[in-house]
Amino acid sequence: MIGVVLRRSPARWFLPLGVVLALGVLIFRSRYWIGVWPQTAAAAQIPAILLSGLAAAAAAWSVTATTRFGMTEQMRAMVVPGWRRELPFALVVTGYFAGVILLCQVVAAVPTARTWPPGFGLVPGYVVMALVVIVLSVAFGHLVGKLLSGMFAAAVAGLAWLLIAMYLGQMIGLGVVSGPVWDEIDLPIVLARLLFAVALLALAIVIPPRSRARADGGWRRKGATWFGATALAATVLLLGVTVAAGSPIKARPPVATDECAGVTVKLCLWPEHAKYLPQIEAMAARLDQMPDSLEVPARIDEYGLTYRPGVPGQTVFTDVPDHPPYFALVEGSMWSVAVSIADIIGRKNIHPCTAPGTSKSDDEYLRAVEFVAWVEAYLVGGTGGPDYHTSAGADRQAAAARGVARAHHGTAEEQFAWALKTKNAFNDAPCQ
Amino acid sequence: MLRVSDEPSPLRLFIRSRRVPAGLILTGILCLLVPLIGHTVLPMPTSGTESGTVAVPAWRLVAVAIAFVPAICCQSPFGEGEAACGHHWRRLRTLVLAVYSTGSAVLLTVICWIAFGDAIAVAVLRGFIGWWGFSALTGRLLGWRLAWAGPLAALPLLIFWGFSLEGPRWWEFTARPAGDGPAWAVAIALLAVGVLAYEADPWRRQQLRAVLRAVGRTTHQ
Repeated sequence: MIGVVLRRSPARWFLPLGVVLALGVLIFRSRYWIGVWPQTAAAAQIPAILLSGLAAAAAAWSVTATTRFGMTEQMRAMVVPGWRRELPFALVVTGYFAGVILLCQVVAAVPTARTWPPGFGLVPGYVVMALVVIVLSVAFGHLVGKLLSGMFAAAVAGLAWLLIAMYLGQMIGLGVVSGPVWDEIDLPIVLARLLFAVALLALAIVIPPRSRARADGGWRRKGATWFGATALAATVLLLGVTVAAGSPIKARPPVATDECAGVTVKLCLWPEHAKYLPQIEAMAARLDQMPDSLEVPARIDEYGLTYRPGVPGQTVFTDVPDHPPYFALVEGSMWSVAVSIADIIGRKNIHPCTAPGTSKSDDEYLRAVEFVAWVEAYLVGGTGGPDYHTSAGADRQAAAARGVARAHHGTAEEQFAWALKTKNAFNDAPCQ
Repeated sequence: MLRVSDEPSPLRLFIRSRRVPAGLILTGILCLLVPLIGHTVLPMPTSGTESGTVAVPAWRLVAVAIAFVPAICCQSPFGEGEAACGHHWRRLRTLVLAVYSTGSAVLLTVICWIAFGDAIAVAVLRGFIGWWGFSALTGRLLGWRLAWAGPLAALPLLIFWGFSLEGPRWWEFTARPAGDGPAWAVAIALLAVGVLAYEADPWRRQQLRAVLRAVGRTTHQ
């Protein structure tokens, strides 16, 4: 039966289109995820979120086939109970979409596997997370298709699922858009969610249709009641378990790492970020070259490496005493590292007024902005500008642009001399 | 036997056979949803921002559905047999689709104008025009019952690729400011493609093929 449905399901037309769309979403975007296992798996999970609306619609389309082809009478005459007739259709739709998502994971894994960095153990969580999205969307679509059973069922299922999934997506950790190394997906929680999704799909299959087809009692034949009761109990139980378990996105515990760069200033990375070590070493070398009169901490860790301020699963940047300061390497951006370190250096060297009700002039604060922007651009090196967008005021943006431009002109000694002069000028300026 | 005066009008028969009443109910529910949940911000995945998500107001998703429902109502219960129908029947179908689509567009725009202001109302109207064209194209290619498939598949992808650090890209016709020229050009181009697709029924395609064959023969001679 499954073989017949597999060959005849309209979802088979989705297979080539789905593969193209999923791989397109994976490839036509930034490539920072290559070489970092959790980022690879998270990037390959995004197509599951984007295609889940179609999966819900396809499930509803599949379940309404009986009424669409006017086969209700023939199906009612079958000896086989209703849930056994529907099961292959639901499995085939799930299989087609899950197949596309798993293929996407395999294709994404190929370039990362060439260097095989540490952290492959973080991958299964993201894979299961993607499967949860697909199975849940199919269950939802099947349910809507069965309840509405009309011409608009598929469209309503697809749109409603997109609204629900996007609304709840970040709130309950249904999916992620990035897999930072300082987070991990709790495998038992996502497995419980997958079981819940399967139970919901079973429940969607076993409930009687809205139409008068239920009047024949076919839905109560051949153990349908037991199947339905089990599915209902499992759905309720697993819903309770998953709600109690909370979000599957957890903070990773600190790990010992030897991925550190620099001599006088040590910059330490998560082991999974080993591919960034050459760039971080170059940045540490630039930090080492800085004059002693510019105060720099002896060690700066990547976020979450030795301690984790804030709520698990959320990146909250706050200082904690007795720990080295930290930088964030976000989506492979060296500018994000430089911004964090420049902020640390700025706070160590630029001293605002401490007396209550006093402050330095606006010009002095713009001077401080220029100083910090220079540190950022100096640390990144090269001649490019920031890769981030800021909503700061025009005068602050102009000051930051001057600081970046200064890092691209003159010798290192000239730049250091300017930096010291700027720092002293700010610190010596009177508080008003 | 029915008397002439008791016979339902062709328009009434057409509307009943197309599930237009069900479509109207769905359009009404969706229009109610626009002010009720329209302000809800949905974080949707995108490739162009630092956070990896972009805040999309729910009305942008609901408006897509309002645009594709009229096209689904073109689904004929008579299958391909209807392709052989005469000019009068086709004109009736076009009339119903035009009135239904225009009514939906006006209703949606007015609701958005009251709920969100004139700038968003204009952007919603532009989005409606574009999505309507795309759903008509999808309906012609896949069958009118599947007119939703193209917009529903394209919407998350449009949002995924449609944003950069500076904001929505020029071709993201649902998110650009109200008076944006390129976005209007994309929406009107989609509308034109949709109208052409709607008009290209099997009868007209057959006529076009015959004309092309005749032109080909003349060129060879």
